[in-house]
Amino acid sequence: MLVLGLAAAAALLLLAPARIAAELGVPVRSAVSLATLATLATTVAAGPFVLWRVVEDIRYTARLTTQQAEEIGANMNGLDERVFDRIRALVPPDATYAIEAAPDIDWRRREALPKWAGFSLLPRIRVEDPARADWVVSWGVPPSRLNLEVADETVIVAHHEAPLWYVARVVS
Amino acid sequence: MTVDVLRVLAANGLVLAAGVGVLGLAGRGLDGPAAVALAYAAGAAAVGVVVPLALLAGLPFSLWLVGAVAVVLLAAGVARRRVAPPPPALRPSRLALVVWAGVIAVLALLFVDVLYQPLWSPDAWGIWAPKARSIVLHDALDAEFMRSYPNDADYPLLLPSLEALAYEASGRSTLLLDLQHWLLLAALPGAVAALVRDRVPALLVAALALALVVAPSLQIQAATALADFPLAVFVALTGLTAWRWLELGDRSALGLLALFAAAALATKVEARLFVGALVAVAVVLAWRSSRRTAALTAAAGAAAALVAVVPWLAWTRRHDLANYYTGGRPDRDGEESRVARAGIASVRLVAESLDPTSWLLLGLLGAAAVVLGLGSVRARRAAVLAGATMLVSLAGLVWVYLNTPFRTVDSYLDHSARRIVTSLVLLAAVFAPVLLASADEDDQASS
Repeated sequence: MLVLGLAAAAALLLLAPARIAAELGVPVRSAVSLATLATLATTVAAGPFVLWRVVEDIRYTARLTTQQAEEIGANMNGLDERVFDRIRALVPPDATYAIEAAPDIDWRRREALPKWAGFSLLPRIRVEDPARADWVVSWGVPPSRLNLEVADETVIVAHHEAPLWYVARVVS
Repeated sequence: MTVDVLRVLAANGLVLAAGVGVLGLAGRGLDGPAAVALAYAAGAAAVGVVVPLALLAGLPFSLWLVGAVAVVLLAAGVARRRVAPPPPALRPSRLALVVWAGVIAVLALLFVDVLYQPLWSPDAWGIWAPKARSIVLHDALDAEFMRSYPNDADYPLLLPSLEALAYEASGRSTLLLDLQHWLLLAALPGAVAALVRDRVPALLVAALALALVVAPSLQIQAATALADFPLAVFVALTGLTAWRWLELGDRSALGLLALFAAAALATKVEARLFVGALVAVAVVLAWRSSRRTAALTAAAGAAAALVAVVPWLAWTRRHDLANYYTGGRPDRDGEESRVARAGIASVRLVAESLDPTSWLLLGLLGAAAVVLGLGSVRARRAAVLAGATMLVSLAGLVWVYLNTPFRTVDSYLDHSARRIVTSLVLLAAVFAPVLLASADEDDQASS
């Protein structure tokens, strides 16, 4: 693709300067003519490769199912969206929740977790302080270790090797 | 999916209707495809500025709200009826039409791309899309929700408002939010053409249009649904309307200048730097020839800030919302000296702006046109407007990187530099044909 683009650009540079200048109504060596030629030549040179990349992109994304496309943010950050399905079933839509992760969980996952939860669990609203939340969601750390009084605790097993998830109602 | 796409496009018909009204209010009519593109950009700006104000006033978001904004603006535009005759465009050549056909073909391919493109960028699903969903699902602005995003709680609401439109129209799917970005990308070449076509040869405008839609970084940013791209579109259009107002005395451009400036300010915080620099330079340039023009330019900038910044700032302050940089988070000690940081940031920002793998020739062409324009009598004021705005903005960005709370400035630059220069590259690029055409007129007059 790159060769094709470069060949087209070379042809443009060799054959078109006079034609372009004539169409513009300016001398060949004028700034407008040179800028038009250079802009067209670089765009034509890069165009086939850039557009081939877009086509390759489409070939990949068009194969994603709706569910895969909706969950891509979770999947790219090592989060299991099935867990969030369970959380949505347990935490009422009008409730607030706090989310905690054990410190030994990979920092990328820990960093992505509150953002993905904030997006995925809407309209439930995340709050920073677990004591102010209606519910607490914790990953790899039982709610009892968060100095909270909780009830209705549910354990979610995402994967047999993954840390457990806990969802519990905070008793105020 | 087809029905959802059609519903999103139909909802954007409201945006276009709002834009037609805005152009009517400004005294411009719809005189061809380029004017329709400008109308869409103006509509996106108007809806993106007015809807957040309605939300701040406590109104719930709905398609009815967007429809009401569109109807009011359209009716006001039609009622004004004093549409000036369109400026005579320079004759389009056959070759220019062939290049425009290429622009449409590339946009068609990118349309298919965004239909299948999921929201994979962490900033898309981690900052902008949640706010769009919240606006719809909570039926209002929810301060508690905004507070749950402490790193970006006070980011403005233009993009979430436009994405909320797509979210609601598509039956609450997040998979078509990037269609809003594609629509702005599709409008950009035509909007630029509508603003420069009476001064710039048609083939040069067409060549720039093709470069805009093929430039890899613009394509990627539009497809990943980040706010830097809409910001860049509005900054570029603010620049061109400022040029029309100052250089051509185009009265219709003043209102559009205020609108696009407001839209930029309502998109991202750094617009305060870009728009502030642009308006300040424009006022200084105008002051030398006409106090009245300078005062009106300053008034347009002030009006934009009054509408797009002040109410939002008041609301975020009242609810104690901040972001990572202003929220008083502990500053980690940097490993480099401040001088080293400034040097690293300056070199990196300039390199990113000129990088042909991101922008093809857009950055280099813009920079060269500014230099050439400074040496030309006819192009000098426009070159100073674009060049000084870019220099002040670059200096402001370096200051931001100088004060970054990250331990090394490189990590921050890796994450943000390519995106943050988008507005400056696009501003330079859209000024390039104007500057080159004016400089050529100089040459032809002197020869």
